[in-house]
Amino acid sequence: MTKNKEHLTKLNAVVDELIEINTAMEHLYQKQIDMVIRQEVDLLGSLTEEQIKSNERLKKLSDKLGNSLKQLTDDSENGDPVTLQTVVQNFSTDSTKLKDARENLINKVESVARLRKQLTDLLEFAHQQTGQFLHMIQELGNAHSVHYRKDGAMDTGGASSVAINQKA
Amino acid sequence: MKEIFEIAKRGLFAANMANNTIAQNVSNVNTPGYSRQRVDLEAQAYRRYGFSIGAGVNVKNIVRLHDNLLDVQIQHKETGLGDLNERSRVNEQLESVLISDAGGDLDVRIGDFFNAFSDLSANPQDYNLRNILISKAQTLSHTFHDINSGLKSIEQKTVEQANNTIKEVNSLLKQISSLNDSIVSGEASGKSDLNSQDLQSEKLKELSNLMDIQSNTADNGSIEVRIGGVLVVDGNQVRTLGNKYDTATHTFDVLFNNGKKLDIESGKLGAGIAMIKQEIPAISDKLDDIAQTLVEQVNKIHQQGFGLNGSTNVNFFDPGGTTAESIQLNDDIIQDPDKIAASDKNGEPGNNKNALKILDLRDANVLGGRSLLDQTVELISKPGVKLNDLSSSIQTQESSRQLLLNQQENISGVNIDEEMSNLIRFQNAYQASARVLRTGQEMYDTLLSLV
Repeated sequence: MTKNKEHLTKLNAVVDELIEINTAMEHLYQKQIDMVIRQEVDLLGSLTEEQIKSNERLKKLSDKLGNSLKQLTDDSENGDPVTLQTVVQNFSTDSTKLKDARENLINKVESVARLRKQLTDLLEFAHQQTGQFLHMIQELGNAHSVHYRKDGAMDTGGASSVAINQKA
Repeated sequence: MKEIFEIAKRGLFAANMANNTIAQNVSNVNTPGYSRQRVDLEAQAYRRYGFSIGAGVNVKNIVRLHDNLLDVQIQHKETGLGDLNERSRVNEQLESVLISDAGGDLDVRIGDFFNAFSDLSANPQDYNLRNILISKAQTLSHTFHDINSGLKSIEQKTVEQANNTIKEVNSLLKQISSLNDSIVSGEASGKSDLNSQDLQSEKLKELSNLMDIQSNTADNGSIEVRIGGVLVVDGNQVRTLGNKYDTATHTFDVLFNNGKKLDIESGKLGAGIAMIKQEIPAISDKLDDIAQTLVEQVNKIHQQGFGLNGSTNVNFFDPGGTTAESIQLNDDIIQDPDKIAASDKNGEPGNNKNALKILDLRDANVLGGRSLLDQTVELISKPGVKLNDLSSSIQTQESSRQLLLNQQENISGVNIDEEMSNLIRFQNAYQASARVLRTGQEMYDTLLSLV
């Protein structure tokens, strides 16, 4: 029983850390959305670096959560995989705080998921738009450039966009 | 959820505006005077529970990348160039009147005239040589006439050019004021009319080439233009210019509608006026001085000599024609070449002393302490010398203007390579961020399975 309490305390701490990292992730995604819209790609790059670090931390905490839950599974007589939900149900008298924390974590995860979807859609849109504009610039560039063949005749065929703004 | 959609809506709008601006920049890559535009975004935020929460961005404004201070410096250089180019243009015409590729310029004609006296002095009784002298003197007179009419024609053309320049000035002033209207209404509606601003900068540059102007931007975005301190464009109000020219006194005045005179001393118009009032008349006066000295000095000696028929006190040139326009041979001499007074004594037809005295005039310092030939050579070579000076000044002025234009181009010019490399940079950043997001997704799936 004492051992279980000890495990539950550890589990609580992990969940708190998970809530904390997810809150950080929420802010990070919001900032990234702003940076995509503002086309501040340098800042977007820095935020992506931050996101990589947060992902690593999230992975470690997820592993930690998995291990803590596994410990509770090992101690339990039932051999089924244990989730946070089953822990809350099985240890209802000792896990009031854990129950609230779980709900809080689920809310955070859902919020992060919404923002991630938002950011993914925006990145997809921006990528698509930028691609279209690159293509448009190439076409405009070709239309504005005059290219000549080796024999001196004007080349009206598809010209390379690299030659834009340069005299042939 | 509601705010997320709002952020997305604003974001898409902002991204679209930014891309449209890039498209506009690229489309105008070859448009002279076009200034690159940039979308200015501002972060939106709202407060909830005392915290400031990010809410995406709004398009604050589309701005024109342009340095107005550089514009003023470019305008100043334009005024200098307009001035130098006009002086150069008129001096080229003056040179072509005074010096011809075929030879036979005024100095040569004066030389030929004195050489004919020299030939006559070798054989004073030779009738043929007397006729040759008359022919040379007539050719010399015609050369004076040709140059004089050439100068008059240049003055007339320069006056016409100045008239056209004034018309051009008036047209530009009207265009600038009409652009003021578009700019002011753009500012009032919160959407700056950037294309009108570009066009107005170009018009101001054109105007400053014609004359020295002072321009400044009013609070409502309109441009005020002053000439010689007088306000000529104020919003959509324009004061146009007129002119008054007097051929006899070579005065060319630029006037306002109310008759008030305006001093224009620089730019194309200023240079044209200076040519009309000073430079061309100075050459005409000098030419007249040479003609007058030649007539008076030759006549003075000729009167003292004797012709083959004993005639004396006869003028060689018509004494009434002492200008480049009126110089001509005495009719008596043309009718009777024997009246050419080569001898200094009556009854000595072989005497050549009077002819030699006239020949001495060639090298005598009879005009401003210098000989007629020296003065003539200086006169006809003056435009060429000026052209040389002007040419080097134009080169210097153009280099410094080009430097300023390059600086402006660095700020305002569209660089497609830059636009493309920016877009490619964007693509890379979007891809990197999306990849990291996908990795995060797997972790969240794991986390959710544990929760």
